[in-house]
Amino acid sequence: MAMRKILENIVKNAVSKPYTSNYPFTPYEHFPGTRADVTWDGTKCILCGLCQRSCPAECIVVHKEETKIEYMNTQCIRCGYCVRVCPTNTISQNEVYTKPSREKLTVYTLVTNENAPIIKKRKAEALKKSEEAGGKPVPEKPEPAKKPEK
Amino acid sequence: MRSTIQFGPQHPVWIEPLRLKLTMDGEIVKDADLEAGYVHKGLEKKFEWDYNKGAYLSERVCAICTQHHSTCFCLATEGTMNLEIPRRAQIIRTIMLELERLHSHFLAIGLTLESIGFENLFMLCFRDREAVLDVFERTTGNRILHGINIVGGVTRNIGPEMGKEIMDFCDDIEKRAHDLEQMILKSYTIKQRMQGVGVMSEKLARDLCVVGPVARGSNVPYDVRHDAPYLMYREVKVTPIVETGGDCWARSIVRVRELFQSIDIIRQLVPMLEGTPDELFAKSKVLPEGESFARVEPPRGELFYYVRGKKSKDLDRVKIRTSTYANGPGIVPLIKGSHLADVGLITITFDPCIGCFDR
Amino acid sequence: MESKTVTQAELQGIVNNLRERGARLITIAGVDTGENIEVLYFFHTGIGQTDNYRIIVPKQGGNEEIMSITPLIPGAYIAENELSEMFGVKVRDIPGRFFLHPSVNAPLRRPVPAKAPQKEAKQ
Repeated sequence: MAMRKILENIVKNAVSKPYTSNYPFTPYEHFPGTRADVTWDGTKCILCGLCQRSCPAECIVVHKEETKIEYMNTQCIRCGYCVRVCPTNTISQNEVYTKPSREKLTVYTLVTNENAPIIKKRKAEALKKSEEAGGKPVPEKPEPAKKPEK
Repeated sequence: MRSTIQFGPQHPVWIEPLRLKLTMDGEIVKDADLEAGYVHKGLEKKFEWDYNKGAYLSERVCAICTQHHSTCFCLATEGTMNLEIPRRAQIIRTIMLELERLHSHFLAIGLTLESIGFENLFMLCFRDREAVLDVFERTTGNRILHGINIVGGVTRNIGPEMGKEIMDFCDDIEKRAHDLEQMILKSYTIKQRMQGVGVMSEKLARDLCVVGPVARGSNVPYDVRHDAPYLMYREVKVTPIVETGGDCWARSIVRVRELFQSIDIIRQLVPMLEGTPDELFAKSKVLPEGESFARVEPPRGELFYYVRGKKSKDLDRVKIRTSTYANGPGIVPLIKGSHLADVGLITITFDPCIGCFDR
Repeated sequence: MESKTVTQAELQGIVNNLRERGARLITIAGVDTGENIEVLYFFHTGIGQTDNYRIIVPKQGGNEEIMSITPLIPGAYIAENELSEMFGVKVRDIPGRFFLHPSVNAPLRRPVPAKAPQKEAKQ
């Protein structure tokens, strides 16, 4: 009786395909909503620093004078806390995981948003200086756009 | 003549490092000495930081019972702030806890069978476990360290299509669990190898205050889901599964029977998601103050968190007592008097998780 | 969470009572509040009920000592070991080392806060 079940199993396993897939040659199809590393959009950030204060792994550094954001990819734990906390929806999360590498993958993003408070202040100061030095009438600076979106 | 053998920090039968010094007389063990601390990270000192970030740190204490650790920390911190979470978040948390129990029991049964030499069935157990990890990846985004629990609720939702997929998954995994149970219960070899080995009497179990399947295999009916209900277990009743043998066979059969209990509970919970309002998160208006504690039931036993706040964003003291920490003193009395070949089998049926033991 | 503050001598009688009634010990926790060290005992006594007791040990700069409940409940051994190792509070008849290297002493203990200068001037 047990012998019959064993023989049945042997024949069934001998004629069926293997259960595993041939991994490096057949690519991995990920499900939608998987979590991988994070990217910044340079035209929406306002350099508030909330993402730096809320990161549990301390892998984000916001340089306000140079208007750059430094992100240490190899230290990030892919938790998604910064995506939730950002007030202007700048940060978005990818879905394809990063391949292993031997160097530290650190990414610098340049912020070019006109509405960021630091960039606005610098432009206003540069305009005032050129007015005082030149003495000629300068065209009016167009009114700043509406408040940054929530 | 006595000789000393070291069951060293690294051994193929364990996953994590633990050291046992055995004094032998021929083939029988006369005395044993337990030494741990190889993965001690000092986490209780690091917990004294922002309480929002503490939820991500508590997940990483143990990789196999992560959802229970983060749920227990969130329950204890919500107790200090007197916060009520919405009903939909409670149902989602309970579904995740029961899925966690499924994948952990498949792993424990597979490791027990590998330690007695049955490698083929160990591979089949892990193949069934991959089906559970696929469900985790579709709902939360990660296979093991999920990160959906925060103080105040959850961050991801389970919609109607995902609910239907979970019900199909329950039918599929019940068929696989039936096949596994038939192969274990009707096998003559496995029974003869595991019965009568490493017997823990009921008096010893009550004296040492052991928890989990180790206690339930020795006729002590202690289950936190029944004795101190939390989250949705006040509406879905759970009866503890008890065996009276006290040996390795009884503890493994408790785990096999709990698989079916978990599938039953998931089938009752998923229909409760329809009709509840779509809120997932409750924002709190006060900072943590005072002290509070919470208990949950991970697959290995009873987990206990004590949290004390000092009216600021940083917490004052967090104390963790895990299940392997309570079962650890039970290893030494059981090993004395057994054969050397049984030492690996007895320690694996305790389901040790040394990351939880050392913290 | 409610808890009762008792002295060390009363605690032995209370634990004996609980053991005869069939309660079980959950764990023992230590908290450093600056001026003294509090030791908390948690017991499970019925469906949904727990009894919590608290002992206050004033700090004396190093070697305080309290009585052990291991002769009554053998499972308390490992919790008292950790209490003496992390806070420096010695428990009678229990060796105090399990996890840490011999060169590390009582990592969770905090320094006593300095008193305000006005108080000393008044005295």
